[in-house]
Amino acid sequence: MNHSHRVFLLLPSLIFWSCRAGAGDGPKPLVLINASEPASLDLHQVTGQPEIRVIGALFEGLVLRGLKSPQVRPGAARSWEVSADGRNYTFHLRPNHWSNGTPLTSRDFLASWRRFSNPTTGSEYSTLLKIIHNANAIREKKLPPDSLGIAAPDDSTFTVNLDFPVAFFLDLCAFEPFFPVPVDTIAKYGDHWTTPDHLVGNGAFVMKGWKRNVAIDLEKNPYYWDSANVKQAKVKVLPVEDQLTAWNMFLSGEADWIFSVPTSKLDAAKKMPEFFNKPMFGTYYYLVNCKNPGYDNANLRKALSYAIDRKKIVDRVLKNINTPATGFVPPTPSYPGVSMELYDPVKAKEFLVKAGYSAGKQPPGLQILYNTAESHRDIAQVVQQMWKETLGLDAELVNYEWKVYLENTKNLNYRSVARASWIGDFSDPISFLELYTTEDGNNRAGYSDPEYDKLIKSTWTMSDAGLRLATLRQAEARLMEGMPVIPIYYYALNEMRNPKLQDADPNPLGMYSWKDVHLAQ
Amino acid sequence: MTFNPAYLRRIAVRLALNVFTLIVIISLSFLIMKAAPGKPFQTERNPSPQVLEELHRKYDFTYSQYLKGILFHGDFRYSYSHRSSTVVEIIAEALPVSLELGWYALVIAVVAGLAFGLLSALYRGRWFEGFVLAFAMIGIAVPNFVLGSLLQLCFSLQWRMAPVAGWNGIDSKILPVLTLSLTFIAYITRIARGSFLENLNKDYIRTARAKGLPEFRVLWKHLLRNSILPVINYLAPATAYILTGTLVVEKIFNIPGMGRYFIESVFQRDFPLALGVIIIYSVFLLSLNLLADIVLTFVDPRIQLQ
Repeated sequence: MNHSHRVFLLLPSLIFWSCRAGAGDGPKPLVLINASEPASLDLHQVTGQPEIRVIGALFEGLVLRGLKSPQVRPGAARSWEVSADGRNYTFHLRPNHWSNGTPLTSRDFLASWRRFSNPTTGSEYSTLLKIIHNANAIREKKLPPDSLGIAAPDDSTFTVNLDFPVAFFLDLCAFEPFFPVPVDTIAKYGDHWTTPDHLVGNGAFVMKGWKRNVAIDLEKNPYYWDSANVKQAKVKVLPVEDQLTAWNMFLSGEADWIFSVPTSKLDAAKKMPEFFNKPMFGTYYYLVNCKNPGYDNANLRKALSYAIDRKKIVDRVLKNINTPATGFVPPTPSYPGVSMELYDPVKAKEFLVKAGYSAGKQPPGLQILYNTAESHRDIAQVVQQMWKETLGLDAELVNYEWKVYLENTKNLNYRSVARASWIGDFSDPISFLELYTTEDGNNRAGYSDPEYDKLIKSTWTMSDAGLRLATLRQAEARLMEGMPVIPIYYYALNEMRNPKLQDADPNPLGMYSWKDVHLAQ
Repeated sequence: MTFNPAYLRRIAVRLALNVFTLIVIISLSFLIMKAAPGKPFQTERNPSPQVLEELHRKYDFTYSQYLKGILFHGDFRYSYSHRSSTVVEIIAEALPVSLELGWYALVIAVVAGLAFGLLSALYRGRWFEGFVLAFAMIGIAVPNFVLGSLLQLCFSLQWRMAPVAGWNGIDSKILPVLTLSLTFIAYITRIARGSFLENLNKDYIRTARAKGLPEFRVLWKHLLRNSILPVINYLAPATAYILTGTLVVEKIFNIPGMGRYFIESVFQRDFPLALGVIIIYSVFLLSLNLLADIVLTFVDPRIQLQ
């Protein structure tokens, strides 16, 4: 290399170094990369993970998710009692404050839950309230929101009246839409209440700044009831949509925590100590349109399902970081699920014959519809090949962009099979199994089985937890007999973490306890 | 060239035509978006009919409401996908970033392109010309996302000289600006080189040299002024490409600019945001074309504004 070349290389280096000198002061923040910019931080307006992640740091519900165990812990409520029939909950609030120093009382919870139930708020999660007395009538605008079955007899007591004993009610209370919102601030600033100048919360952190698509800066909330035990002083949330950029930022040390690893980097990631992998309460599956001729026959649906070798898909396409599905509901310690072997080529062929089809007599319009994404295409191609090899059936692959795909699946406007996925809102099998009851708004298979509906309905009023789980398992087995859904694999969390990151165990829904998460000094 | 009344009238006519074009663009975009399949409020979790009704009541608008809103109140409405923000707020934050990125890239492209073009024309047949031509070919052939990733790999991951992504401080801006400008440096180099070569052989240059003018004066006063027309002609579409082309660079370097909304708003069926972005880009393109034509009449008085 001659002299002029050396100068050529040296010059940009000097510029870069001179620019970088003097960067960084104060305690090091925990830098985490959110997949995208939160659409809003109004907890009654959002449904996505990136939003809920930030909301979880800024607000706190009556109870908190367990750190090491699945059981909830006291949050804004220091204790609670349940009536003998399991329908009435009484929460005793500790002295809480909003981040501006004003007291937070049970009346704030009252006003927040009423806002949540009010159809004019437009919360997509408001259907979760249906277990509370009068919530359905409020949603249908037959009753005003203040008739919701909740009350605040005094500043530190909050009561909830359920229509039936719900085993997972406390889990719901730990879910972000059930957290309190500062109704006075909302009344004052309207849609702009979530800006850094106005936002008031009751969580472990307060928002110091929010520059759209740049960063959200969080700082420890001095008014938080347990602030003495919050070890992380600052958190920086960066919205980075490009997975590869996020990966590079982690490698360069610009980020401490990324919540997804690009597929092309999975092999490398798996060898690194920073890689974190944990099963998640979510299922990737195929829907079958049970309203269409041919596909209204369970035998054909079962033939299609039994012909799919899930292990091969997980091994070849997903680089072995997920688990092949053995039922529709992902197994958890409290609910092991039906745990079936869903791949059986012999059975697949038998069911195809029973359905009256063969390689010579193809079912009408067999296709796999998926929303445009490389990973969905790869899986669809493998499934297409498996159906061809095992059953001799020719499937066509069709892709639509996201919103068109949603509209078509919602209206059952697809010919036979469509890709789908579901992540539970709370860690109870009902959040999956309810989907395929006849009347459910998310039943995109057009499936209807009165016996199944009856089983699911009966679980709502069961107070015996063991019997309830056994009934749910029976319902899931029945769903696998009808096979309106063809489970493929269970989701997993794939993260890269700074080794200093502590107390960051996610619950099965992929949610963290933000008051505990911290970087060891 | 003078600002005579006829000239000003022609500018006024062009402006009026631009406004008409803009209204046509808005109307067509509105029609296409309404006709496109897919509903804006459809999500993976099916909203209840009551919630859906509420969202439509709050956010929906008609064509006449929209036109009236933007013309008389500057109201571009609320974004569907960022529901707590208005389109004006979103664009007001993102546009300056894209403009800054595009402006740096454009300045670098023009300065470097003209310099490389001139030097390669002056040193014709020497190694430097070969080097510049090879560089120009690579610049045109290598796509942004490859170059961006390559620069990240070298400067950020290997040598730790610049951050991988972001838009805070000059150190984070160097790599994206370089990535965005390279293609344009290459194009301008080729255009300028051709134009310089053509003019260098002209009689007036020989005359200027023969009468003993210093070489710098020959190049600056005579050659540059006469050779720059094709470059100016290229600048209007180049600026448009740079503005709309920031998408890839913004994605790779996670820059909070307009690029992301260009595609995202359409995929999300966020009609107000998509319309807002279309209007902003259209205003820019129409104004730039007019501006380029006006500048041309300054540089070459033989050119008339039509």
